[in-house]
Amino acid sequence: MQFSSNPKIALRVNGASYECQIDARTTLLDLLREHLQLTGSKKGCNFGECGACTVHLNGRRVNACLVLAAAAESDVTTIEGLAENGRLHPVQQAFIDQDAFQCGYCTPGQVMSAVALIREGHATTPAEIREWMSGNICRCSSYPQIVAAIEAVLAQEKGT
Amino acid sequence: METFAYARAANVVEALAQGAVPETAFLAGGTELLNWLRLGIAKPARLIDIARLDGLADIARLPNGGLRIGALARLNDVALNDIVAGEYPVLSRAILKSASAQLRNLATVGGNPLQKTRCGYFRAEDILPCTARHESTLAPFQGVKHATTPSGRRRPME
Repeated sequence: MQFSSNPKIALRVNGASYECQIDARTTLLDLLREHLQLTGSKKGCNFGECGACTVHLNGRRVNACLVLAAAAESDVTTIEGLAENGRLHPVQQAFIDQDAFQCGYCTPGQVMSAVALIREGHATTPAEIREWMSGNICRCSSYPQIVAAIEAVLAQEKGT
Repeated sequence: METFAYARAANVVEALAQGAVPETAFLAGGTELLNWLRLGIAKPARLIDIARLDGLADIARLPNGGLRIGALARLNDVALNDIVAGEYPVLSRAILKSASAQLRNLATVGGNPLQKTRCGYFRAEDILPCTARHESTLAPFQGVKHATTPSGRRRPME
């Protein structure tokens, strides 16, 4: 077992491979924002309470502020990795269509959480959507519009 | 956060041997430990990441009835496991009522009972004279009034 206070780590973020040497204390959130310049993931509380830093780690939504970068050597998807060929992800588009944000600070986390939620299959009723989105706080209180955006994506998926 | 050295354990034997060294902490889900590190509640010199150890996250029936849940199983994986959801619905629902989906994807069932007090003084960012956080502190002599809780613990009062 090799102990290091400056470990060299390798991980994939949004399909690209990165290798970097970091301070062992670096969280995944700080790695993304400060080292990889992916500032879409936001630092709200830095305590795992607000959800603004939500990213996908091997396809599962997690709070990037509660993961050590050294422990995150795997596949990471951030808000920057959702759009394909300049086309917004359906959840991103639905947030715009449904006016599901005001200041926008929590939005990257909300969108990442919503994408995972739809994939998890938990979003069958508005109550269920609210429960499974409860790890993402919106201080502008756009909650009704956020639920509407997720419902719109689900309806769209059902229709196709 | 104080500096520490990080290592990932390759197997249980190695993890236990290295974990016995003073000033060493184990890292699994990290949802508690990272906040303790930030608040100075924990200041380990070395951190052993055990989250990827094989075979410790399994959920399996026992031959004599009952269920064995590996300590490294993530809370959501326990709650949403078919056997747990079907035959232990109270456990499943209780887990799903805790924290958030993101946190439950990280937090392990073994780490869960190792959480520390949610007391605001204990977890305050500014170091307050709290006897649970700093055992040697002489809080009563620093002008902080204390009350005794029903459980017999002494807590600072406003």
